[in-house]
Amino acid sequence: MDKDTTKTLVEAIAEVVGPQAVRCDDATRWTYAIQDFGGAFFYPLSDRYTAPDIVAIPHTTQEVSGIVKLANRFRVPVIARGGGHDMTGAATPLKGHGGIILDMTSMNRVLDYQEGLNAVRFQPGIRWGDLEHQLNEKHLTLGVLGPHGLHGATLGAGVGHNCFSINAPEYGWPSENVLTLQVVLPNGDIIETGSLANQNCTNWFFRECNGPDMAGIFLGSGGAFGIITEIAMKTYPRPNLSATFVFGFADLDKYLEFVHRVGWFRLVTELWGMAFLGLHPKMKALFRSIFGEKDLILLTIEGTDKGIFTARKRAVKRIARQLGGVEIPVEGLMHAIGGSVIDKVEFAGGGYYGGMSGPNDSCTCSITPVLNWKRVATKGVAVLNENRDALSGSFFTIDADGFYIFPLLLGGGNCCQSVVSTAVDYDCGGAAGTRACDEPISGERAAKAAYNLKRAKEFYATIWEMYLDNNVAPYRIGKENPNLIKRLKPEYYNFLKLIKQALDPHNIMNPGVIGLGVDEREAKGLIQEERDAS
Amino acid sequence: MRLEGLKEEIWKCNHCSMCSEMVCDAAGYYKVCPVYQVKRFENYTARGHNTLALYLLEGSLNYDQDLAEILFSCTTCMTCEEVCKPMGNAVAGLGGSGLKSILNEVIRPLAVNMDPIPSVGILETMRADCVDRGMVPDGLRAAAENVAQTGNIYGEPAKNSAGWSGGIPRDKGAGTLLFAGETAAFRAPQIAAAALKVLRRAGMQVDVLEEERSSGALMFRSGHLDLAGELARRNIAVLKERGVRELIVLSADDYYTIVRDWPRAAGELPFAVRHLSMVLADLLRRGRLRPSKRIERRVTYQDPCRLGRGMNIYEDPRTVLRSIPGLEFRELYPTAHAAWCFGGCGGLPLSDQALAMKLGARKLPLVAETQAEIIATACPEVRVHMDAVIRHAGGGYRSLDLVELLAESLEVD
Repeated sequence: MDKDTTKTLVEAIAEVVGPQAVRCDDATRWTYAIQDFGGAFFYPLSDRYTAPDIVAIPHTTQEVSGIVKLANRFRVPVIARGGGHDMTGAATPLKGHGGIILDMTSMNRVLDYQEGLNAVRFQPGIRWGDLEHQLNEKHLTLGVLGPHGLHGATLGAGVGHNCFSINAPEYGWPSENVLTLQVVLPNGDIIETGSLANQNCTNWFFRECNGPDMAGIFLGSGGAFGIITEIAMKTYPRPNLSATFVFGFADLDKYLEFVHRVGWFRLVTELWGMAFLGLHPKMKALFRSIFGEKDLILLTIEGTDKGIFTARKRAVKRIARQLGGVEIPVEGLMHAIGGSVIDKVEFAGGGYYGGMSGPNDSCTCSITPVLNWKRVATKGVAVLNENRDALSGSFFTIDADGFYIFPLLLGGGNCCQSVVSTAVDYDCGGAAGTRACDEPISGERAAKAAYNLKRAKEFYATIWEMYLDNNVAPYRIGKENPNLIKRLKPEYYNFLKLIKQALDPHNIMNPGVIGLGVDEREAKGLIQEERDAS
Repeated sequence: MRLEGLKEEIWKCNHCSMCSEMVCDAAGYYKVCPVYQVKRFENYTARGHNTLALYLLEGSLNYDQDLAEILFSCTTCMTCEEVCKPMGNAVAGLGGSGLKSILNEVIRPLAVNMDPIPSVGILETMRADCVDRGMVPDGLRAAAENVAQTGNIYGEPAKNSAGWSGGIPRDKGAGTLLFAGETAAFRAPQIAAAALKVLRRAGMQVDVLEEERSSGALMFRSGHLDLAGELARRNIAVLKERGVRELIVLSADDYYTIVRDWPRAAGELPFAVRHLSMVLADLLRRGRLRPSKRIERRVTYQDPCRLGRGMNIYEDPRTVLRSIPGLEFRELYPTAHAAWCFGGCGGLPLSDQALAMKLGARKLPLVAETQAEIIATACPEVRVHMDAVIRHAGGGYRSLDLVELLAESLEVD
């Protein structure tokens, strides 16, 4: 955007949100040029992304609508951004597009509790931890507690990008808990979905009524079709009973059968798996010395009714016994400290992630049926072993280079996560053509850094291609999954593009997200491939 | 660019944003970055600072006045580093701030790296780069000039630095020296006087410098690293020559600077250092101080950022307050490791007075929830800033250093 247009647009936006809530100075713009968590080797080392031209902070739906109308008039992209945790470029502007970032985190109020109807309505910029804090004061819970450890993530971005959630095994995917949405469409119109579509209905939140499920089209769309400005979600009674168990299995098939069954019968609230197969050699040595060569499961059961709670505990233990699982006694310890291990570990501290996986780690969080996990993980380990040279970095906290893979039950009984985390040795200033520092690196060192980054990217792509050909799906797509876009059925991709064209003819809504709003060759990564090759 | 030296630390930041804003009941956090609560743009948070640092290194961004304004708006309260401590909050959930404070020391020999991203250090280094380029807010520039000329940020004659102790016997060459710090010396002399009287009541022989210089705390925090280093070296030489074996420090900021910054700038310290609250708690535990006069008031405690998060001292000040008969102690929420900064740290009152007052004003509703009448603290800088905030808000509370309360209960006058 040229300087005159930026100035004019900033003045116009200031009339909508106030002069204190819009900025275009370099320091502000570049702060918003990154928004990742565990996916850093894409940016700033990537040459795909850039800083926004303008950052604005709306407080109301009307302000969002006003900015979107201006963006239409000026033909400037608009990207809504929440807590900034996505690792797929979802809220970072693409080079050549730029645009306005709407920092939604000040739209953070709870608007309505519907205790009788088990619902809460809130603005999308509220953080998961804040909403849960406010619900807890009323002895309620959202059930789903948000993505890993990140009480700082926002609900709007979570459902807007299909995040998974803690406690999904019991409560389901966050999107499954959404009742109604308020959305600012690309033309600035404000719509409400489900029961709120009736102009005489203001305080009843129900999704499946008044025609098709229009909430669904915006969930996971990454802001390609509109900006979510209000959300109503289900609430549940806050559990007051909690138990934590660890089981070890000597047989991987039985371990996975256990994960499948406890999920299928909805017996557990949360479950983390640590299969021996996917551990780093150093971690294998550690685990072997403590537990033997066992696949481990850490699970939590919560409840409000003592009878049901006790029955669920018994059922889990019985299934584990039937499948040869050995209980590792931690329940007494957890009881003594007054809670489940998971709700405490989940907030592990930001540095945990930075230290654990490093800046240039990239996680391939993805979903697959539990019973498919062994096949995928085995192939993943084979790819890792064939590409050891691509894993040039290390996980600082555990002093391990390479990777980890683990299954994590993500809800509904038959959906688990497979993570490959890769680290690359970085060398700021020289890698992959980034701009020079005061003392730019050169020669052999620069070549090594560039090679490391190139190999890490190739490895990441290889892992994803293997996944996508083996019944694994990315649950958030953002702007970083061209391999998926290549594999979408043409009719489906065309359908998405038709919706986009109908709703957003000026193509202002977050160009590039889920492969929409940019040249198809760019969406499929072909232009990037050519650029890398040259 | 000084920032080059922190390349690895900057790249370790995973930009998870917990240092910006986060609520976690299990770990006791309700919001995190105080400045972000007012400014709302992410460039005012640690994650924002680390991102800016990254782009400064990478070359997309250059230092300018806009950037300097952002960097000097931080309180350096260290909540960002606290929230970043790996597994720190799981540990806090198990064993509170106490266990959290020792965890790192326990596991360090196991070669497990549990350090947080040094976000405040990164910020202070960027501030130093701004100082090198002459991009310093006027208030801080004036403070630095004062330090260079008179040895304290207030520009007061150094020979007046012990004026507060007039009439109180001092024990020159005793080996134990009370380091009052520039704020107690020139802006809150009653705190320094109370401290000296209380220590003498416990039977301690305490020395005081006739011409005390700034510890350099504000200079370290504001990026005047060369000047701060000079102060550290000069102070160490003076104290060594005086034969000091133990330094008792009144200010939380000074205590942090002497323990953490001086050795980095001037090498190992030739004396032991304790904060006054540590000494008082020790004297109370050993029965050498026996407060007896009842003070029938409700009191809450504002953890000074550099004493709590900076030095992991949470219990000693509370021990002092709980020892005073009649005093009813009420905790703030959030508190201890998660306590909100009052806004007086990091030179903010000098770089952006209005923002510093706003941050303080945000704390008053939390104080109101405790129904406390007195806000106690353990740092003259915090006490002076709290006074200003309370006055600005129209009163309603008294702010006191805990040694003032203890002195009253001991009736040292």
